[in-house]
Amino acid sequence: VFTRLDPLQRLLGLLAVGLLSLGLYLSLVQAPPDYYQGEIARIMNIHVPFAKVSLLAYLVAFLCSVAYLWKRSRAADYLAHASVSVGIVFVLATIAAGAIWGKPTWNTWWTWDARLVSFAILGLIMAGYLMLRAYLEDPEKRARYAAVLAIIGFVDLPIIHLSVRWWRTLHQPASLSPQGLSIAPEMMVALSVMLAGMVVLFVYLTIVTARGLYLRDELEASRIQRICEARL
Amino acid sequence: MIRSVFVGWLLAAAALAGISALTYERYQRELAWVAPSEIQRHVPGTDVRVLGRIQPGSLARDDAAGQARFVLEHEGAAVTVAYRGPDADLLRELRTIVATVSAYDGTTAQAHEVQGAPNFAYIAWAYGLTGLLLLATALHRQHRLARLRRELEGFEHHAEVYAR
Repeated sequence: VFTRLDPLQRLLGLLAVGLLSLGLYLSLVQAPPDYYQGEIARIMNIHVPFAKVSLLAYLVAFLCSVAYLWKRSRAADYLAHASVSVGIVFVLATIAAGAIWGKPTWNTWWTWDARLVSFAILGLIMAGYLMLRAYLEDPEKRARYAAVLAIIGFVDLPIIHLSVRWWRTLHQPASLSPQGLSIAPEMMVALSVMLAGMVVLFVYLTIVTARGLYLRDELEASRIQRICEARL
Repeated sequence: MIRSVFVGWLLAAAALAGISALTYERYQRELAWVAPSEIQRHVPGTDVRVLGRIQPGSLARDDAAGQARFVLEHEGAAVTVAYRGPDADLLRELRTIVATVSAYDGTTAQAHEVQGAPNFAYIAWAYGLTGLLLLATALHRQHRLARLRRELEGFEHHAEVYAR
């Protein structure tokens, strides 16, 4: 599968560039400023998509980990690893954009708020997952342990989602909920396009990363085979 | 493959340059401001955005008439502003705002709109920093994939030669 993805990868790359360019134009030029926060609310158009994609990345890792333990599929393991490896970048971007937005609105870069802390824990779980993979040498054991960790860590996702309802937090509740939309339609268009662009970018980066992981293992296997042949 | 990656990056760079230019142009048109000391130099009859902090004790509201008076101060210079318009929550003492002034008679500026201070530096930092992070990730992953491909192809070629 990984060797036949060139056309899809190209298409996703171009689609990501197109959607993100349109999203940036809508976010920075077209969308009106917020009534109360003014221009600074434009950071929402990157902060929210980064956060949603971080959660999506972990959801993909969780599903692929279940698939790996069930079917022992190498492709599922590559996808779980790639998804976490890309997802952690989105987690960092979410926290960075949130901190920069927090300074002028909350007058602090960081606060020990339930949403912020549960999200930072997601980043730590991802970092732990990548460290575990880096330290274990046996490929089968590495994939199995990492899959178990990804499944255990999934418990953090509903906590992140519900933290603004369970606890009194500084962080605002979701703008899009079953009760309706608490955001102006012009702002929603810009936010939706940015979200679509980020999702496509995530898929693109995950495919590129998974292919890299697959090729690395293939190269390693070829080297080992060559050494064995030479010894025989 | 390498050519298509190059074309993709070229397109991304062109799009980024275009959006940066449009954003800068919008900033100059809609968000640029002057200090109270510069208000007299402005051409009469055109709107001018004046930035300043509402001086403590200077804010007087007339809710029935939908008016407010306050003194805006910035870098030692101050101007009295008579504002008529929606009573925004922005009008609070010690808050830095931008008032859109349409007339100035030498003592009082007539304003018809108030907004929060633009704080555009935070927006530039947020978009710039996270954008760089994503660009660096994309470059690094693509570069690694291309390197591994070359290595594997080279390895297979050597293995063929060795086998022969």
